[in-house]
Amino acid sequence: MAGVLRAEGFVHLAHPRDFSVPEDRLVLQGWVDISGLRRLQLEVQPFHSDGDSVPPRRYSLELEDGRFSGEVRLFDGLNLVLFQSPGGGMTEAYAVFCSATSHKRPPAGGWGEKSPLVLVEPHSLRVPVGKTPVSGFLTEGEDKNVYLVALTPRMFSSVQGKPSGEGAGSPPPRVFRLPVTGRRFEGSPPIEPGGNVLLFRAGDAPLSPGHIFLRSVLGEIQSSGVVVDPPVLKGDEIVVRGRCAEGPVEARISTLVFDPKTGKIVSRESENRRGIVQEGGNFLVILPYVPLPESAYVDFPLLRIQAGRSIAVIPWIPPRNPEAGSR
Amino acid sequence: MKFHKCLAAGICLTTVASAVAETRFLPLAQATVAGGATWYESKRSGIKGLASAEVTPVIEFSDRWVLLPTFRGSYTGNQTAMKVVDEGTLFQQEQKYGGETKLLYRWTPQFKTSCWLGDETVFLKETTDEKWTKGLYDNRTFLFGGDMELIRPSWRWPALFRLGAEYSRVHYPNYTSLASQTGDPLMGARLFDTENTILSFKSLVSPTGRIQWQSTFMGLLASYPDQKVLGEQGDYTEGKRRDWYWTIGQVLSFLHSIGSAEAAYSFGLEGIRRDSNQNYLDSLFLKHLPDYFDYDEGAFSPSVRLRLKPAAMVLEAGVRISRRNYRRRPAQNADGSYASKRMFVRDTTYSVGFSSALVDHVRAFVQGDLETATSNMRYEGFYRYKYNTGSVRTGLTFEF
Repeated sequence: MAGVLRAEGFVHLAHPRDFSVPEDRLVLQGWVDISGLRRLQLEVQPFHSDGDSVPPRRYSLELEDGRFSGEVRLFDGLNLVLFQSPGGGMTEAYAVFCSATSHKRPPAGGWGEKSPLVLVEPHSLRVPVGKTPVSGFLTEGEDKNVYLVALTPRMFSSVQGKPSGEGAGSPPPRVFRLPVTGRRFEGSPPIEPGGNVLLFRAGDAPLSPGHIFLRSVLGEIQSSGVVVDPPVLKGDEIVVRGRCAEGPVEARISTLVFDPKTGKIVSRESENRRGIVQEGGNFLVILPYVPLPESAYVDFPLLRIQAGRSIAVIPWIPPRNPEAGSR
Repeated sequence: MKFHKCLAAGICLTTVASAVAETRFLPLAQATVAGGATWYESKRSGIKGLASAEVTPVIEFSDRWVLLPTFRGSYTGNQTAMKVVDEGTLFQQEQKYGGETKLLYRWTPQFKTSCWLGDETVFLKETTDEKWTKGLYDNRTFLFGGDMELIRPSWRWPALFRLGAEYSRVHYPNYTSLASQTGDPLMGARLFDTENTILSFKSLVSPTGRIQWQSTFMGLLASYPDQKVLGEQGDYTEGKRRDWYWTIGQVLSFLHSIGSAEAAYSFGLEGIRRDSNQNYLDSLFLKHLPDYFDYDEGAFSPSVRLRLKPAAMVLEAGVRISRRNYRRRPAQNADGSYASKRMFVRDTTYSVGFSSALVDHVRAFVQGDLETATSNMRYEGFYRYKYNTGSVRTGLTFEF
């Protein structure tokens, strides 16, 4: 298999509607843009394995006027679902997480311990949202492809909280297959506001978690009219400072919270707080801090700052021990 | 000045180089070789061959720009009844060559537009001694069109909407009316040539993972630039023939798992209405028949496809039941005299098929169909309205 898997493609999935599905039997339904194609070959493979060789599950789907519908069986955990034209000329992949039994068998070993992959970009933890350049190289092996799955905060919420309802989470993401040339690879996965996890796998076969490279990035929006300094926790207040081109400045904080009673994930938002804008554009906003148990929030809280027509959205990492904050 | 030229050339080269670097090719192809026989009123033809091939070397310049050129060709050695013009005609052999190029632009992951340009040439032999390229009904189609597609994956029921328009010109190079050949300019010469404008809409809704609902609507205006409208007195007016077709279709599909097999049920409903400004003069009975070509047609087409997953075998069966009611064309008795009732044609086509993967990229198939047509039209001096026809073919399909 060769060639790059792009962010856009010909295969569109209508179902499943969520990245995380509760059962290993999954109905795939959608359509293909290429009118001349009569059949799709499907391959379902685990993204990672416990070290044993796992043969992929293969299926064949007839296309009727571009439409397809068929049932496949997933592996526990993260799956790659590859859609191919019969000759493999067109290959597109989606990632689907099967939560049927994965909680019973957590992957053994530390993630990325033995990965031959070194990431050059992104340089920093905080990256702008949207298509973000990533690049790197392989220190060993002759692998021709690197598979990249970008897991966004909405997908995590789907994995962690929602039991079986359809459509409330995030749809399965497209998987990037980045060609390795001279051991180098590059791509541009989409990053959303908040904590994102990039999973890299060298080669076309499942690897143990130790060989899967994992990188977390915090996606943030920083428009040119507003610059926000890292927020500071002082007692029960979050102090946000920065500079803006125009006022007024308003800020609020939103957190995805898991409610164990209902089993649902809800977005909790603070009230809008008006800030003080000084001459020269320096501003100060103070937001109330309501500590949450660590198990309650499913992604880092997001600070949204509106300054005139400009907006900034930055993830805020609360301290592990809230008592450490002092006025 | 030189610096500017160098800069411009540099920018151009960089743009081209980056486009080339980003470009990927997706070769898609399929070919079929088969043999089979046809029956017409219990008369069987000899075993004849069929072959077809289609190649689509997709060129994806970037995430946004995609070019889909398609080249296709086919040969059908079997007898085939086709509605090339208004009524069905039995052809002995057919060759078809053509292609189209589609340019697709993805504005966002949910919205895309495309335009296309195509050409197709069809050679038909009505009789076995006819020479290729000399067939009366040989025709060539030139077309261009465009569409826009909107996808709504986050709706309660994920949906796709497509709105398209197409223009096509169909030319019959070997056909001229007999009247024009004798120097009579009144009727027109190129009677079959048409210019067609199509407006189409399609929606695809997925209420659940196992149910799909497709709706289509099409409006088609077929203009006959060289066919004059027949007046009440049997004279030809200055007006040209124009036919309007309105088609609405609904297909509901269900997927049902039975152990390691999967059954896909499909129920299709179709309604067609044709309005033509052309009339007809029955020269035998000297009867002027207004709105001769207007009809309403309804069709119901249930089908089932059974897929045996481990063996990659597919078994399918379906039936299409249709009835066409001519709005003003009267039925005729066996001697040609006119009956009081309007004419109708009822058609039932059964089809079955079986296919199985042989080796990588190659599948073997067997297909058969049986068509039964009945009508209250008893006069069959020119065309047959009551007949049975069937075909069986088997062969190999190569898919790449």
